[in-house]
Amino acid sequence: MISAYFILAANSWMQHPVGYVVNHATHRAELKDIFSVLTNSTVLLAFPHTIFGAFATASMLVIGICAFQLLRKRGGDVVSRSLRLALPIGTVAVILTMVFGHFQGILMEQQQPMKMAAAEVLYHTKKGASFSIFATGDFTRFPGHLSSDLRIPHALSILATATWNGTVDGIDQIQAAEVKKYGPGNYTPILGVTYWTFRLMIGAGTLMLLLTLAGMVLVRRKKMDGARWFQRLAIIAIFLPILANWTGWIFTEMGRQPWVVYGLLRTSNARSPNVGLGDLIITLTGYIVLYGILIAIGGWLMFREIKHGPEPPPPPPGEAVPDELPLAPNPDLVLSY
Amino acid sequence: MHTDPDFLQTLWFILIGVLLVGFFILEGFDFGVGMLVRGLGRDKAERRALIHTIGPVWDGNEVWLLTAGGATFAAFSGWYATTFSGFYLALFLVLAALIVRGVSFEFWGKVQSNRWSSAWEWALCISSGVAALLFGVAWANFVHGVPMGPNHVIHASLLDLLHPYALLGGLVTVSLFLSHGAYFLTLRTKGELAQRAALVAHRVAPVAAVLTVGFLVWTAADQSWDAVVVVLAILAAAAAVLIPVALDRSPTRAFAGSCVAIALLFVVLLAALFPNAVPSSTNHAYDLTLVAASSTSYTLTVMTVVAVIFVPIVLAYQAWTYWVFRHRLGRDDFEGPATPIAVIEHKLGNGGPATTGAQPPTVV
Repeated sequence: MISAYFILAANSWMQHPVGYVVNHATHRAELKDIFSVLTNSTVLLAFPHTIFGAFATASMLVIGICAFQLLRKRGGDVVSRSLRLALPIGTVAVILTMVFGHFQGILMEQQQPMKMAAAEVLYHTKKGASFSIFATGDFTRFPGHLSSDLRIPHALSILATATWNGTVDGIDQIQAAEVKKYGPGNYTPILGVTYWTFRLMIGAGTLMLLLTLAGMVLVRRKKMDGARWFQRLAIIAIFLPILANWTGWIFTEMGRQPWVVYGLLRTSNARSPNVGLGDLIITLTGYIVLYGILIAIGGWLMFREIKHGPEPPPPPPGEAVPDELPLAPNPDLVLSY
Repeated sequence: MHTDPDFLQTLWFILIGVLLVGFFILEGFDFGVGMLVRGLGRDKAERRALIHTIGPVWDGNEVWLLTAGGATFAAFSGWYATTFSGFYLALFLVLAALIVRGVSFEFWGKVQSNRWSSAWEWALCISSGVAALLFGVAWANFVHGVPMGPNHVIHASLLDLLHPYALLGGLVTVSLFLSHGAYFLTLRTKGELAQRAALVAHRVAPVAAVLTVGFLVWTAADQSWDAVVVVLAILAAAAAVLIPVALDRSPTRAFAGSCVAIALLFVVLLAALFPNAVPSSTNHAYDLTLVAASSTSYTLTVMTVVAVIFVPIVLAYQAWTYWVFRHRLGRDDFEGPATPIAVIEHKLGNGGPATTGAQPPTVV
């Protein structure tokens, strides 16, 4: 939790720099007040959003594993108790993640209006703006118009300003304002990325909430053991928080572009001049291969453990029970090294 | 432009130096044990004993490197920026080696199969060797200087970094860490395993001593026989030569000597660096000085306050880890289905199996 706070404080500084002065002799931002960096309004909301997201991730994993055991008719005391713990915790965690996300949206409208507009592909400033659920446009960086669009009236204004008829700034207006402020340039992120990552994050969160609520109802009505549709969905749902996590981070980082530190340092100026495209391809390929192998092995090991279940499998019929049962099938699994 | 570092800058250079020296002493024997896992352990029980000598502590030891990197980032951001961009591919290789090393501890015991565990033993062995080599190569380059212009942008390909002086530096760290790990094992294992470790130390230590002395002479010459460097280099060389002699008397003294030799080697390199952060081999006018690379005095003050509060806590729990896992290990500790906790409780005399069903480990 402590390390998460400091990591998010650093990232929040990149979203909304505070507590610094720009030294014009050295061309750099210098720390002036560590306490305003640590109490940055951005981190005060990003931290609970991330932490409750982590609780939601863990809950969905536990729920998914329990569902897998139930599907294989291996449910027992451990499974039912785990479900009764993970379902309410998951519900609360998802709701709190959403609540803090909502306040983040309001703060983002003040601190990084372009990110909010880009999340919605809202070209023109609007009062009582509606929230788009599904839209398509030309497959370009800045599609000039949307081909199809399904919208909830007023929802964006509520999300971004917490009022029914609040004004949400549009991309064209913010672009003009930022040109005035920072000089000529393109201040619009890649709209297809911001729009869809924002929707996938919110969509994944909504599905998680529906699923945990359904699970609580099933447990309460004692129908969980037979609810195979829920068990199948819950296994797939293990990946929902991971999807929400990925898309949320891609959204917040891509939505800040072209800045690496909002309003202070452009990504194009932050790059290392001596690290070329070839270097990047080598390392990116290297990390993908290395982590791909590690994910495959780690996933396989986890799946093996899950299949093994919390209780040792009953001895096959006809085979004598050994006098001394080893404490675990493999003591190395207890302490890994 | 070439002003001397002020008090806080000097303090943080020394503190980063302390972190690095601590890292190389602690992770040095981890690398050594890692390299020796295949050569020294004859069967799975022995290899398990070897891995267990560093299993509970290696990740704590690696934190010293993270802290040194973090402290460099915060205190001398220019230093961090120049080296991490300039050594981009080399640092990728270091990171890849450290990642493989880290997971090899974790994965090793997860599957009951000899092929599986032997694959991870080889991964541990090779990644430890590669990491030990690369750290030596990197530090030789840091001290020797790299092609760098007035903007402190390093222009060197991966192959440019592999010149003879740097390669010798790499061989020095590999051999020193190998003998260091062997000394460590003479203290942490027992029976046949400890004897074999002593034999390896006997053979490797003289080689390490010769390589270290050669590297130090070259370093002194490279630094135009700077008086401080020469004095420190003589001390480091003396320590490196004395260890093989000390081993005959007591393994504890030999290990202590090995620690001193590694510490002095890096003190020599850090002294050669001061007051620069990254010297330029293109032209000394382009050297990146600590003053130019430094953060503001406010940042350094904040860091000092944080360090004063948290470093004692970290040191205390690391020391406690070593105290808990201080017992000598041998193959007999790992022949039964016993967990390390059970081994410790047994040795502490708390009696009985630690967990249900565990056989009490037999003690010779």
